[in-house]
Amino acid sequence: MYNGKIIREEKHNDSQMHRVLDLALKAGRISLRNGAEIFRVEETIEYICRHYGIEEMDAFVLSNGIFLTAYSEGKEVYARVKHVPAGGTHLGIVAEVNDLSREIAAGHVTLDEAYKRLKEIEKMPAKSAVSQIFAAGIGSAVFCYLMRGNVYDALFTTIIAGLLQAGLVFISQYKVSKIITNILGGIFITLCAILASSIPLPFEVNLSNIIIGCIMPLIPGVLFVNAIRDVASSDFISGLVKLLDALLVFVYIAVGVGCVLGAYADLFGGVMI
Amino acid sequence: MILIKVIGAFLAIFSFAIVLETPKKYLVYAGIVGAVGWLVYLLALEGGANDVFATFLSAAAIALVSHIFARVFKTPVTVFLVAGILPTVPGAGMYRIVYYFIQNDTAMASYYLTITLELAGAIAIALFLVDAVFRAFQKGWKQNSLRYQEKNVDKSSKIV
Repeated sequence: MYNGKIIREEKHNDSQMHRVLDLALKAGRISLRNGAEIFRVEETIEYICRHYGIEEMDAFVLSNGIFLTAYSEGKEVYARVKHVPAGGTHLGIVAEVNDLSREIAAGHVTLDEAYKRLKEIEKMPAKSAVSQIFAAGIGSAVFCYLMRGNVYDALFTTIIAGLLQAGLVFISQYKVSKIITNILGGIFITLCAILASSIPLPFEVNLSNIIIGCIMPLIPGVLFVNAIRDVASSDFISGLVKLLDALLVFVYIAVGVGCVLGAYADLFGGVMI
Repeated sequence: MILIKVIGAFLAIFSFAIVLETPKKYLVYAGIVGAVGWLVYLLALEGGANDVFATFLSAAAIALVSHIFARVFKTPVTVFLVAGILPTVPGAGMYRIVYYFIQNDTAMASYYLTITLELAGAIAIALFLVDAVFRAFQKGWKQNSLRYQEKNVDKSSKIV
């Protein structure tokens, strides 16, 4: 069995130190990108460095970047700044990297194995588009029902939220900014909801309930929760940045919804259900 | 009636956990977190609490259960918390602000703005409190576990 003590006593050369730090940086980058909190990323980097025998290191993590320096006696100083652009959320990857760092700290993983496993984790596939679309549709519909919508509202919500999620999955392949995505999303659901509520049907369909249900896939839950947890663990800069980001996403959605509602009210004389 | 709504909350959170790429083995637990949160919310409303306080209690319950699950399954809290907190996030309030703003009803719009900010604040404070409590316990515990590991390593290397 590989043992932490042995690695520490090994006289490692510069290149090994660099490999350890690269591994730590990579692990940190992957988990930060996929929605981990700041303290978790810092801990991951620290565990990995400490276990593989780097005594003096400092990791400073922001919501979109990692600063890592290390110093070993008689060796050159290692310093890297890594820009980590925001990615999608993949909680599975966060959980896996977390597991890996704990296993490394417990001394069950060699450096080469760790590299191999990290590579596998990074390639972990997202859930299929179909299952995401179905999940978003059903989830939003149930929300619509919970927020005092009736069964018919929920039915329309399923369809619209499913379409919305399909659009989100499609748009995530390209580098489209959050502003565009969320404003377009808001416009889309409001248009569809107005369309649904204006079809003459034997039962009553409520515009507001459909929109409230359909908003759910757009809501930045991960950002909001991570912002609060970052502030709670005294990472104020990242926490406030994420809070502002979440707030802006809300504003973008509101702009999208508001544009269409406003135009509709102007065109059809302000009679809204 | 409450039972149906709680089952609904379970289903909704289960679905959104799929969208957030929660690992398969934790999907059911994420759903349970959401169901507990909604149950607490409904019971608090029944008991005469106002919306903000009910949301506060609900968010606290969600955070508590998430932290417990995270400790039990040794996985990040985020896995359960992010999906579980969704029903309390005031999406409806945000919509109502826009709706009344478009209708030139500034009074109602600012009323809902206040409510929405209060709700968001209530969620934040609930998460803060539970986080702080668990952190207070965790610190000593984690340091101990690290120390324990190092001791073990020392022993085994002596034996070898």
